Amino acid sequence: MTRRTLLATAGGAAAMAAAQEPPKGAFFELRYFYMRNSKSNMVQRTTGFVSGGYAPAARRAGVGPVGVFSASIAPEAPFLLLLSGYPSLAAMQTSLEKLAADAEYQKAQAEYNASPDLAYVRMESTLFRCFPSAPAIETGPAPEGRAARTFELRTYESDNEGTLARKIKMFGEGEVAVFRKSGMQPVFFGEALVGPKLPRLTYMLAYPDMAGHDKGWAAFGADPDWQKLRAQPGYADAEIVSNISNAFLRPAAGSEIR
Amino acid sequence: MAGAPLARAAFAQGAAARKPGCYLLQHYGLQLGSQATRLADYLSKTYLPALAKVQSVPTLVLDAQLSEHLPTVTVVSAYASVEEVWSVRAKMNADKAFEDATDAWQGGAEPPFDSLATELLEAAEFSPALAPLNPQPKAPRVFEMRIYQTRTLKELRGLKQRFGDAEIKLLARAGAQPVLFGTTVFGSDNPNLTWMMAFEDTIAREKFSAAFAADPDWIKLRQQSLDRYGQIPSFRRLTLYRATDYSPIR
Repeated sequence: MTRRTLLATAGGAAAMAAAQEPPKGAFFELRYFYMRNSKSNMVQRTTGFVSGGYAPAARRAGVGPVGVFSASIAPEAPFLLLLSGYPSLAAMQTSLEKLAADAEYQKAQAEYNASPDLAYVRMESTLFRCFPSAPAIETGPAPEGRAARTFELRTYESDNEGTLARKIKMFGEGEVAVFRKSGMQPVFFGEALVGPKLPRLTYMLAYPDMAGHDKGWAAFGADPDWQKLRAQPGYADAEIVSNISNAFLRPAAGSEIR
Repeated sequence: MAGAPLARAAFAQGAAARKPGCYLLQHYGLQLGSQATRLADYLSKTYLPALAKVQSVPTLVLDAQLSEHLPTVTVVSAYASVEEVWSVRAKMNADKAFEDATDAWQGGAEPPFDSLATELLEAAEFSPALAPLNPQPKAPRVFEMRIYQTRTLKELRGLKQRFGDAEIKLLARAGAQPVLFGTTVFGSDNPNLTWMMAFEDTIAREKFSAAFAADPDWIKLRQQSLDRYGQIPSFRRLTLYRATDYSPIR
């Protein structure tokens, strides 16, 4: 066997092994269902469809992980946030085709859409690519035998694509590592590719509870590695982040991230 | 629960303090960088002392922890009346030293802030007096502001009645410290009920949230309100703040 074929075979085996692993979501979509408290049970109907209709069908179609969250403390509520992970954009296309051909899902969707009452006010969707430094969505420790975690979603807008790229680089050069060291559990770090308010990035952290949030951020702020990183030229917040927004979320039924 | 005695202390204080007539809210939207430090310096060394010199107006200075825009600093002042807002403002603006210090803050290399939005709220009759806790809390408290927007004035009346008759007591019983209840007179998102409560920390807030949601009296009250006025808060906005170290009320 020549060196060339050996390499090709090894590469092929690695690719096959990767294909057999559960999808980790190198790309993902975040979809908001913005709702209102209403007599027609908008929230219950939408949660029922997303958790009971979409989530199992998406898993059948190879989407993964699937996360479903509701607002715990958020600037605007109520909403439902749906996370759909895909290993690649080609896999996303295949999954969407499978969903379109899934009779059970089509039935659930038709029932959901058949109500004369509004199901949501509007949807908003963004397509993300995971950072090279955190290339997969992490579903976290096994959910059996523990309480659902508290999730924080944070969005950083940047003035331009150059400063956004620098902020993403900074996450890879230590910020993500400091999160882990501080006891915070990263779920994903995504660069928004298609969606409103570009350029921006959005990331999600999980904590055992709100006390874990307070403790984690206190440890993060005091960490010497973080202090060193942020003091580097060009890495000051003011130079690379133009707006921050955040929200606390709780997992809803059907969520693989809990 | 830790919050309950504090809530009672706040009420006891309030009984002695003056009744609020209206609230002036000033929301400073800031850029990351030097603006926050410069604003803190201005508010603590210039604005608050100048206000105190003219009139004792209970004031909170809050730093947003959860919001659509961070950093945001919100200044909340409880005035006895709209006339007082104007007379205090006129006296402050007539002070040359205040004007010079304000110019010095605003005249830096960068603009002093990104945006400034102000609102005038009419205090609800049941809104407690804004007063410092006695004793002062060990650490600055967490404040939660909510805006419940209604479609009609009738819904707004129903919402105010629900809070004034019973909900404010249930909130305190579950561990929240009621801070203010008002409706926007000059500002956006009308009609609305804007209200605020305080907690020792975010953990106390979490405990309150669970206790309140499980309170059978609240479940009953909510249903009565639904039956009588329909689903009222058709839209809501929420901001979580922490009091700044230099806030007169923390």
